Amino acid sequence: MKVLYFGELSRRLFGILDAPANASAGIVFCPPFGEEMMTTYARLACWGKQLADMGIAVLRFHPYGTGESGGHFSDFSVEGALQDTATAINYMRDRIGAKPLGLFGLRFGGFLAAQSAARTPADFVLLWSPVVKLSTYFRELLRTRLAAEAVHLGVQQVSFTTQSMVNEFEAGRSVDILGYEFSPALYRDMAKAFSWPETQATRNVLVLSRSSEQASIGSLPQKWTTGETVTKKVVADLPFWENFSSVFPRGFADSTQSWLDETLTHGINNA
Amino acid sequence: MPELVSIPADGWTLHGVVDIPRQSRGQRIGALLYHENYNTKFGTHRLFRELADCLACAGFYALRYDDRGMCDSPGICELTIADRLADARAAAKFFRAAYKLDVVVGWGLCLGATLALHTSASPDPQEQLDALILCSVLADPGIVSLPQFGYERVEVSKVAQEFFLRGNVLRKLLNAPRSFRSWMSKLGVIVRRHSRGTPKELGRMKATIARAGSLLAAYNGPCLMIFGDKDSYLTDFTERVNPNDRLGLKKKANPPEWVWIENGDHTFSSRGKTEQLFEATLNFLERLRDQERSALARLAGHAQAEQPRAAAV
Repeated sequence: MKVLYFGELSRRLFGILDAPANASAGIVFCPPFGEEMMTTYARLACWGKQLADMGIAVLRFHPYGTGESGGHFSDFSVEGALQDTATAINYMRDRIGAKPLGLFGLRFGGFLAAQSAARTPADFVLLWSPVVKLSTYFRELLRTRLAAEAVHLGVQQVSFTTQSMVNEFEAGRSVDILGYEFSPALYRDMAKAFSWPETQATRNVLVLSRSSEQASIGSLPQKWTTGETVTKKVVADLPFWENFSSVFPRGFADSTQSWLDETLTHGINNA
Repeated sequence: MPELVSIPADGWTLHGVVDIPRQSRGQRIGALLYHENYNTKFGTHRLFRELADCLACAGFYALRYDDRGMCDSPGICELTIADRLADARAAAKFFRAAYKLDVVVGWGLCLGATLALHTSASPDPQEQLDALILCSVLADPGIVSLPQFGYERVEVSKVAQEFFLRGNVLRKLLNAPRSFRSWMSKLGVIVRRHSRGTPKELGRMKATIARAGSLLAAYNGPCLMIFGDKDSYLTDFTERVNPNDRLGLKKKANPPEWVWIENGDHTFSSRGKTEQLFEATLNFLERLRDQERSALARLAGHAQAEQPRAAAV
């Protein structure tokens, strides 16, 4: 396992490459957003190590402005994260050559993986409970500040509303969401600019979700949910990204590993 | 410019990052940042990463690391509290030696602060900490209720409340027929956890946390305690761990300094609170820099003539 910095010096990215000799494939992990990146970090790292033990090269990386990568959180934007994912894909491609290269993403990371696959076709895409509608997700993030003020700080009347935060963004100002400085650019990207890609250039797709997310998964464009190389499955795991648990998402991991076994054994369908 | 480092610990390798000061004057002081949970070097809302950066700008070294087999450290480990304590000591020893530091300060958040206290009481002088900055310290074993860690018996009523009353109840009821299988599997998890009882590891964790108060009372080095005034851990500390100064902190020759951050929560989660936290940390470290190493060692009880203190674990 190699911990490293990569990418251009002006946009230095932190990454962890776990590449066994003669890896059968490579996967770039697209991380979730904000606190979900934190809550899931140890468990996704653990799963990455397990995949490496199975002979699959794994690259985990931190988008610019997050984690150990350069920049401040206010530098983070969806467009920037997509550029960083492309950098990570290129880095992995250089390491594994012509072997199949896939993208994995949980929650917001699922959105990143899907967007990236639409721009640069990957050989396969693995999505765990992806955030399908970014604008709704963004509203939920804003509400976490209201909830925190009301619950954790015991404030009777919160000093902000969701709308007043939106007004701040519209006026070109950043908003502090529990220590994360959300920039107007991030607001534009999440609330307006980006939606789930209609096109789907990657033929081998696995979508795992929980039963309570079926309405959201059902709203995915048809090309992402139908076809003989798209696999949709419901797993019984708890929403493990919601807390700092050490409970491993066994259902998600096992279903994915079975799918990878089968897909990589029978050969990636790129026809 | 951060440096990536590998720290040896009982046959494991811990991955760490050291932020190197842009410029340095006076004593070489390093802050060893102990994170609070099973999470990563950079911390919630990137607190640790930003603190390390801020410290380096002010001329201090800062080390952050992942525990054995966790996150970006190689291997996979079923981490115990004893492992975390061993890693904390190994990191302190490594940091002092590898960067030729005159002073190593333990900076910990929540359980990280508890680890810093234990490390400060290590019998090995190379592992001991010359000063402590304890933020939202976890010193009351009674508040370690961690069903999410799989340590504690699950309280069925709380879990039921969580599952059934959280979110849009009407939508949940409407979706109930479709969600039946999922609910049944959840029920299975709850029953298994509930019947598992209290494992030994939780007992060990509670015992480790329970010693934090007495370690703080015995610690003679410079110490800064930081709490957010809205953090329930502050109430736990003042009312259950140290009611009426039971630990005798006020009577100590070198009593801990206190900083309360107004409207601050457990992790200081806003830009303003974070800045106050950093300011309090820097003020304390700047004053340490002006003190002689020998004076610090005397205060902390590191002088060779003195008896080694009791082992932490």
